[in-house]
Amino acid sequence: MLEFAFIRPKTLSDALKELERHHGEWKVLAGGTDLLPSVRQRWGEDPVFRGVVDITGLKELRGVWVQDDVIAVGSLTTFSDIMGLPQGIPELDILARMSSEMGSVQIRNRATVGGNLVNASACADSVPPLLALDAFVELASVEGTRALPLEEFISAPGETKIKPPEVLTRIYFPRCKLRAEWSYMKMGRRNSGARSRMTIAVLRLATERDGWQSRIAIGAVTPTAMRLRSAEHLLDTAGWNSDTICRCAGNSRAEVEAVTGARWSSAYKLPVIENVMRRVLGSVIRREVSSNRVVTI
Amino acid sequence: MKDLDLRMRVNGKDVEVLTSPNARLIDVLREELGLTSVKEGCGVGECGACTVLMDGEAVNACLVLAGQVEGASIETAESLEQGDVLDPLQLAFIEAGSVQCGYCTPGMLMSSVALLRKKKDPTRDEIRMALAGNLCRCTGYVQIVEAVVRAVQTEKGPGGQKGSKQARSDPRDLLQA
Repeated sequence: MLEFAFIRPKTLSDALKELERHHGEWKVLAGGTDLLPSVRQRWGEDPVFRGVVDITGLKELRGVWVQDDVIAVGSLTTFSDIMGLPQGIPELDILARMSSEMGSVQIRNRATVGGNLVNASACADSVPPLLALDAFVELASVEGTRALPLEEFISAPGETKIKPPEVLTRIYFPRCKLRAEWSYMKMGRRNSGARSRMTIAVLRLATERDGWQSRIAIGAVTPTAMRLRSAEHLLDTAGWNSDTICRCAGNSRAEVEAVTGARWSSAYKLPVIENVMRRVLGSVIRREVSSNRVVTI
Repeated sequence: MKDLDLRMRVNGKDVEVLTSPNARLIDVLREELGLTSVKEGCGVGECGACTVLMDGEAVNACLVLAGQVEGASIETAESLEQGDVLDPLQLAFIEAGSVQCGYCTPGMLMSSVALLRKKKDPTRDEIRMALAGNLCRCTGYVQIVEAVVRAVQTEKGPGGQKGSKQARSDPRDLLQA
């Protein structure tokens, strides 16, 4: 088993100082659901880190704060925490729905939103809904804090703009001023404990002029999850009706293909993207919250 | 080097353990405390065989580093029986034929305990969701779900309710049936 040191600081400021001290050689540990399996897979290889700084003792980083125009999610908030939030706030409802289909009970009780973002798997479940919410991430170090749009934060599969010894402390996003509706779908090989093969998060926010501001994010089918802005624009200008939805679905497929290029899996994946997108967009206008199950393929 | 000094509560007792910084909770429970109900099935948090309760929440003990448990309360399947008396949940597992090789069983029990503490009368769907992180290669799961339903239906109540009166039941009686 890989050998490493372990410390568990009591305050964020202590954690930042320790990370600064061991710059580049020590890892941040939160829920451990990504870090520990990766340690196991390296059994016998050269150590990749000399120590871990366990930040799970930093209670101030765990929680969800709802204000009139912004919601902040502490980076140590677990997926179970999110599922336990009161229902009725659309921005949190979509996050709760995503959380309920991620991993398993045991994983959700430990895995943190911050960890999911910093690990930045191409199929990270929390990314599409947070992209649809126009989320920002806050990063802290001994030198201070800075914020980045989530869309810029994740730069490639497994890579983010975090500069060790920074710690991701909070994720925040503006609240919808008027009515908001959402839908979410995850496709995977099993009902539970499944790596996402595709996730779609859709939000539409009522505008003052009786229109909608549409947000569509797709995950796991491109190197990093992305917003489908061309499809969004089409819905915003031509309106949410079945004809536009069909065109959007075709649009989504084209937007994804523009990023990935033709791949061996495209003959299967692209029609699936189009069909599922049509289904998810349709579920918004039919106001159906589809059953709490991963769509298995 | 064993230089990590840990204090935690395990199955209702305060314990102090000296272990190494890279030890996992499963290592501490099995090696230092002899609680071998906690099984390592995969070591990467996918099978749930090592499920224990940490501050009442079901977690994979293979994904928790020992140092993260400082001050926490851990419960394993060993806590379910009271002396010679099995918990109604354990009896239900036996009676429903939910135990074949037995490797997944402690994890299944602890996930069930976690569920029943939150929901006294779960539906079969809710039971399946709660056990979705526990894999079984033997039974096909039906008997396990039925065992939880059966435990819910007994008037003695599910695991975790200490002090409830239980009729003594020797599992060997069932084998002769």
